[in-house]
Amino acid sequence: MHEFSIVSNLFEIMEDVAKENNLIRIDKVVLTVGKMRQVVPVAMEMAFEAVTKGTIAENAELELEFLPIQMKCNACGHNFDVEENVYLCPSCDSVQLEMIQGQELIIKHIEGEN
Amino acid sequence: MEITVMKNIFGANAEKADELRDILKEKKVLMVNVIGSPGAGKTTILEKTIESLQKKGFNVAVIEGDVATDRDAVRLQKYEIPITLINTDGACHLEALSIEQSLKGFDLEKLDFIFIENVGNLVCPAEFDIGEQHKVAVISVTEGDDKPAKYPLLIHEASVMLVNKVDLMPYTNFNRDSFMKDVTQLNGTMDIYEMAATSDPEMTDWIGWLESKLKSL
Repeated sequence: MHEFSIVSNLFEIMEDVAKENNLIRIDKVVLTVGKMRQVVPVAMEMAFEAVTKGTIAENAELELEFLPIQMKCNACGHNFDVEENVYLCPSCDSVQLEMIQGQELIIKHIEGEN
Repeated sequence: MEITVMKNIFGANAEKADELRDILKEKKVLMVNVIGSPGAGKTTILEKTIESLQKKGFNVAVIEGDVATDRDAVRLQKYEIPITLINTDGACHLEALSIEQSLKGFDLEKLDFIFIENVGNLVCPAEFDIGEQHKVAVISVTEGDDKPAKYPLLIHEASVMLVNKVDLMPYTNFNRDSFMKDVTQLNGTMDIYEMAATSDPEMTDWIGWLESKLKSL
């Protein structure tokens, strides 16, 4: 249940942003989530509902934008998306790879009323 | 109104972890974060590791992360080393803030190694940078050869993997080739050491790895 930790940290930042911008209500939060994070959307929604209950973000919509895992091959320089956990360069078969996308866990934007 | 935020959700934890890493580097202490399933052999490996390092004259401390009990911490008391216990009260992982509290209880000037035994779990502990220099993945052959493929983040994040209980391999359907292929596909630069912590406490290569990482701090 790492989703609960994610949401607790997310909510702290949401509160800060609301204060800075004098929001009286938060309607929507959009997150960018890299696939390597193994975030389960249903678990995120449950945690989000529980944490925001009775706050200015109650009933807010949580939108997750998933980013595929992307690797750069250090042997031939090819960039590719990882599918089905195959971490192998499709153009030269090298395993000398560097992750350039997939570990994101970012609050992109918040929509609310002030 | 729409407010652009673009903030890392674990940003505060990451900053704290970087801060701890700087302090440890300055004090020349190697801190490793040991991650593995319940029953993989984390505590047994720690016992044998502490014995080997003590024989070589190194000073070791342990931070025990445990969901509810002090059993692992009690097991390690016989080595007369500094131990702090963090009960996570059901939480599935440790975070940098609780490690900071534990470090305050140690005299870092007198230490060479700190081992953090994370909560037994392959998912959440891999997510959190807690200020360690290296993550150590412990996987035992009785768990099955599919674990690296199922828990890619841990394999990607760890610098070294300890494959434990290899003495039991003949009694399982563990396929070493397929296991190694998955590990290499996920992390081609991982150091891998096979061991049988209970029946064969010799861990020369793993101890050598720790010493070399301490030296390169």
